[in-house]
Amino acid sequence: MKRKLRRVLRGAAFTALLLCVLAGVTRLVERKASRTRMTPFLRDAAQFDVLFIGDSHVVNDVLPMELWRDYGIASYNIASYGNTMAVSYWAMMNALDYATPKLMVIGTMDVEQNYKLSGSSSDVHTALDAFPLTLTKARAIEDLMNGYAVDDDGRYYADMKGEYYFTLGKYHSRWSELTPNDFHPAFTSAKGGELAVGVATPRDYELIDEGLLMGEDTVGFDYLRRMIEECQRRGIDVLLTNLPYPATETQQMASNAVYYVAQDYGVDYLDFVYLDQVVDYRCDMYDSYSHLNASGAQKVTDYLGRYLRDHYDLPDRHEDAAYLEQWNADYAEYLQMKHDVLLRAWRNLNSTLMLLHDADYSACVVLAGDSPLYADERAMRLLQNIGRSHIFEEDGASAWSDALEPLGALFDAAADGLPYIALIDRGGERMRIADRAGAGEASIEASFGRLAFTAQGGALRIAVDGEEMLTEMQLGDQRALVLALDSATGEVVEALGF
Amino acid sequence: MSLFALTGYGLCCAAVYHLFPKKLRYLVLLAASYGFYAANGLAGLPFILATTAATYLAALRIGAIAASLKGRLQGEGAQLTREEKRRLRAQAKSRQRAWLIAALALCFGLLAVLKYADDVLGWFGGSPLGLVLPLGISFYTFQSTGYLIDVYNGKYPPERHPLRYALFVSFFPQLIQGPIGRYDQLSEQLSQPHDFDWDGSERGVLLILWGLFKKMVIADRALPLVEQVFSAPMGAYGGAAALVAVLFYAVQQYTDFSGGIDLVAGIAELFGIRLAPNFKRPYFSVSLGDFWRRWHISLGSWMRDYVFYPFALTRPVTALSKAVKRVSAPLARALPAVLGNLLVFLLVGVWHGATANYIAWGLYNGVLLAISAALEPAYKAWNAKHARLSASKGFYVARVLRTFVIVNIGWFFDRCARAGDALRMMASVVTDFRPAQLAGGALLEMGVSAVDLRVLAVAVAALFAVSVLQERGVVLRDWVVRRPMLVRWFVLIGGVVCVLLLGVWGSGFNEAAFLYYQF
Repeated sequence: MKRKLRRVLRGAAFTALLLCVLAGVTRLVERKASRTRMTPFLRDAAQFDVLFIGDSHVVNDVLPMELWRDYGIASYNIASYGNTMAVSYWAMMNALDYATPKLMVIGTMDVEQNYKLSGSSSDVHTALDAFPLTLTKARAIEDLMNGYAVDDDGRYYADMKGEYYFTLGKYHSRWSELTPNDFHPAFTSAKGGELAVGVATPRDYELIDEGLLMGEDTVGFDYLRRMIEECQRRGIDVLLTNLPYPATETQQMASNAVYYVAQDYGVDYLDFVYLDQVVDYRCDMYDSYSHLNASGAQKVTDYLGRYLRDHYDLPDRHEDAAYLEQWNADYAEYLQMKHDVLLRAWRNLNSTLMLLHDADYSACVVLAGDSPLYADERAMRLLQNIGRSHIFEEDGASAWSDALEPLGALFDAAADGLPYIALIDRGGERMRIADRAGAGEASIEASFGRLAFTAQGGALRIAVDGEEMLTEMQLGDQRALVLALDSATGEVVEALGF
Repeated sequence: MSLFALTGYGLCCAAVYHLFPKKLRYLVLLAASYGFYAANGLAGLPFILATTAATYLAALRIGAIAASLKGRLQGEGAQLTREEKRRLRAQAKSRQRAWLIAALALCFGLLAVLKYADDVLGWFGGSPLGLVLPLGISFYTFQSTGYLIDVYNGKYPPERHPLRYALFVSFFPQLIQGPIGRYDQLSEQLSQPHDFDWDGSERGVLLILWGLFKKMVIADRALPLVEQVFSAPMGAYGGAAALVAVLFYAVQQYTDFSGGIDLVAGIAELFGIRLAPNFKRPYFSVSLGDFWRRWHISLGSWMRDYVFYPFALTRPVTALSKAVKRVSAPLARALPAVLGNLLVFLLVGVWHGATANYIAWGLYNGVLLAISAALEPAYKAWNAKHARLSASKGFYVARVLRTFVIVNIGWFFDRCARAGDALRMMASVVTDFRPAQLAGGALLEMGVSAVDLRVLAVAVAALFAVSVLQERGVVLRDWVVRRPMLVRWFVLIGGVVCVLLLGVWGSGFNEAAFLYYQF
């Protein structure tokens, strides 16, 4: 008996050790996309009052850390690239095993799709891999992969179930391409939001009559209803949202139909496609047909934040000591990421200008009188975009701030070929814009001190309260200087000559 | 069934086996075997049942006739004349032969129809029937007919217990690609209950891992290059690529087949059952005959016992040998072996497929072995004359290399779809060989990546090192099992991790079936 027991214990110990090693190896070689996005969520799942779910539009357009900064809303963006409504449903179901949010914001762009899975099996991995293997996850895999869906390589998802249960089946050959990040993975500091950097020309589109509806019901609508019902069953408020993009007629007809779904269930629906003053597609598109860049995301997030604050009973966690320290630390990390990964990494004029539409940055822009940017329509628009902000009307509609082109002196400088200096100062209670045309020297009062510019030949000198910050800054081919300043401290984050 | 599913199935069945009362354990094995068979396709079940029933009943009848004769000779022996006894024996043998032939005709008839019907129809322009070859039909046909012939020859009495016999025919690890078991070596092991043995199980798991390593890390990584080059239109690659491809095929073929055998032998060891060895480091062979005694040993010995010797001892061959003796006594002595080898390898070629390339491959081996048999006296004389040289290491290595080259020439016929293609590829190795054909990353455009090549190089080096140790009599598994527990666990877990990380598997890869699967 004793011998038998020893054998059993020995077998159990060996099995446990083997499983531990396999779990470690699996964790090491797996693609980190899913875990990078979802580990902070799983770690702090109980904290989130709002969850955002949907596809890449939601990932790129909604920035939870900005909601925290401006509205004290504790939220997480659990959306994932390429999610169909079915995958979103199951990602939400898995997330609800851990979180008990007060509000679920559901991106509805994919309701027109009449299938459960897209062709990118990697996207499905990104959506599901980080969730521990539970009954809910097993149900997700079985439900999603029970048909004849194939991925882009023509493989049946039904044949790939195993690799969704045990990801080693998918990633075991990654051992030859491991990087330091695989050993010490960096998790998102943005609570699931991802800022896209780039400025694209939007495709042409026309708004159709709101009464035109998609005729057929789709798999997407089916899962949308299931999501609403599940949330309502759990007592979670639901907000449906169609984030802004130049939608085709079919897409608009589908999003029009969502209005009636919302009405059926008595939930709110924000269709940004018709809220056409929230973003400016000419500045805010990352690609030409769908995704917003960081500037667009800032605007949408700002709009959503106000809407959530005004329409839902969400606590302002700025007043909650249990949140304050950790979330502020997370925010500092997020801000550092914006400095390092975005601003400092993108040495491209348009991207830099686009990124400066951000409440965390004050900006100084200096253009020489012969700057070719005066003739560059997009650059001129992006310059104006830095200083734009919303005003919100009581009925929920939005309009642009007092000027679509707040840098008034820019046109004078352009018309006369004069030097131009602007300060967009977000350090105070309200954003303050001061710009000058024709000055070789200028002195502007900013929230962080008096900013003095001196232009001599092609070089610039800048001082704050008499203390020189930059000397002999050289202008490049574009004859332009862009300074990004931390709006809270006035410190120069990045100074770029173009 | 995938490799992991097979391994998992084996492990689960082994666990259940050891949990059951000893008396019922063979029934667990039988249920596991038929469960395995059914899981691979219910359509195959009637065929294995038919073969099992036919050979079981025929053996019983053959045994009964023998027993009846024996009883009669014992009871009435004193009253019978010598002539009457001879007549009775002849009658009994004739009846036994009738049962034997009937059962063999049924078993080999099924095999032939299922395996060759479409090929034969194709020769005459007919539409293929699309018959699905049942899993392991060749292996269980050879195994059960071997048993029947042994009973006919009086080697042992027939098995009376139908379930024990059914287990002998259907034992699931050997169904995939052999080895072809012998009743007198296997049946007792299958029927007797085995106690759980931790060391034995560890040995089994080590063998499983080694088999998986060979199959997944080496064979399946080499496969894409082999497929790409051998499937390309003639002339698409030069002679250097053809040479590399056949060397890759030599490695792939060996590691695929022997890896699969190691896997199933390891699974069998989890039940305490030792299967017959099927490979003994064949690329260390010093002659082609030696190679075939080390490669697919169970098929070779089956062919030797049930084809070669019976054929060599037939009256026509004996008569021919006597006739040749008048011209040349040494040739007369070698003649049965010459003809026997030709027949055996012709059959082996046809068994691989009813196409010209396989027949050419079989005849290539048969002819070489026939020549070798005919020249054997001359070899012996030469070796005796140059005893020092022939005992030297250099001579040994030269013989190994020579045999390797001879075997690889045969692999061209085995792997090319047409015999003519094989000849053209071989010719290109001689007439169009330029190392530059492999330079500048050309190798990486043949279906393998740089990582594949690196892994293959290391894995083949490991295989070679282990093989050298095995040639020297070192049994690595025994060495590992004698180490302290933590070392053993390190080896086992390391082996699992190695196979999982380096192996070709998962839905993103084309996990290849065993080459001899469904033969």
